[in-house]
Amino acid sequence: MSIGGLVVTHGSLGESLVAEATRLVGEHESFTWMATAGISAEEIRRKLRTRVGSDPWIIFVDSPGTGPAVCAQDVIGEGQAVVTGVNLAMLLSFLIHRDRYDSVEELARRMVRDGSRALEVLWSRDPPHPRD
Amino acid sequence: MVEGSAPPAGLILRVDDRLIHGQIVYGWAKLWPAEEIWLVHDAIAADTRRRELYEEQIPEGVTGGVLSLSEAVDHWGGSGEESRRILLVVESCADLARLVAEGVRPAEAHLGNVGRGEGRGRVTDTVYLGGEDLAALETVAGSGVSLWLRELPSSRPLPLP
Repeated sequence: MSIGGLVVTHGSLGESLVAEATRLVGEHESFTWMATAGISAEEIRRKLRTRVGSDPWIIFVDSPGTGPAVCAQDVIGEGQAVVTGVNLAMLLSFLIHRDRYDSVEELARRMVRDGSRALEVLWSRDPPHPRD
Repeated sequence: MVEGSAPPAGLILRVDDRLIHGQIVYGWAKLWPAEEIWLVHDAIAADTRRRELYEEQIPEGVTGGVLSLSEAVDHWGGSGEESRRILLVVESCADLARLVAEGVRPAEAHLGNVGRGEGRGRVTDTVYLGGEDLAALETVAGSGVSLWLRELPSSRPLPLP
């Protein structure tokens, strides 16, 4: 069974990220999002527990120190991980690579590497920028 | 900041069932800005693992942590005015009412987030209240505490329905 990916964010970010990742690399099982608007931390934790149980899942959240991140860290156990700073590049890497990984820990570390690689400043090519 | 709506300096009690989350660590810690932030929650205060998790969420440079309700009453019950900007976050209207009943007198109390639940009706996008909540809030308002709906330091406080 593939390691699952659950995107839990503020507002509808998660829904959009999952929809766009799926649009680019296709539908995948155990890859989904969860809404958090208008519900308590307790309810978020209950929904998270129901979704991931004790199975191998990575929970992707947007910002550390915010509600979804704290709730996710609160509910996970061994063989599960929370990865913060979710972006589209990270989710594409997840879908492309997850079947090569048995270890949630190793896949989670790769998510941080690949998500970070998406962070760059791009300069105008016309004229060539001295920073190039 | 909207004119005339800034939260007062001093002790503020906030009902927020998202507990320590983005609005607290960005909005209240950076914009008010809070000098102290305490989560007042009996179950979390009694559970070492969860208490440490929530203590880690208190932003750098801000004093704070997790307290039980009785510890909060020991600190602030019957106290005079606070000059420091202190935010106490409680999970429910019932916990707010208990702190006020035991003598805690904030410069402001407000409802930030109270999520959907059985028997609760929508008040705003972030606040849903039921009969028990309203009864608890009535005792708070009856104690002369200034009570509002307020998401952020920059949002205009709204009166309760």
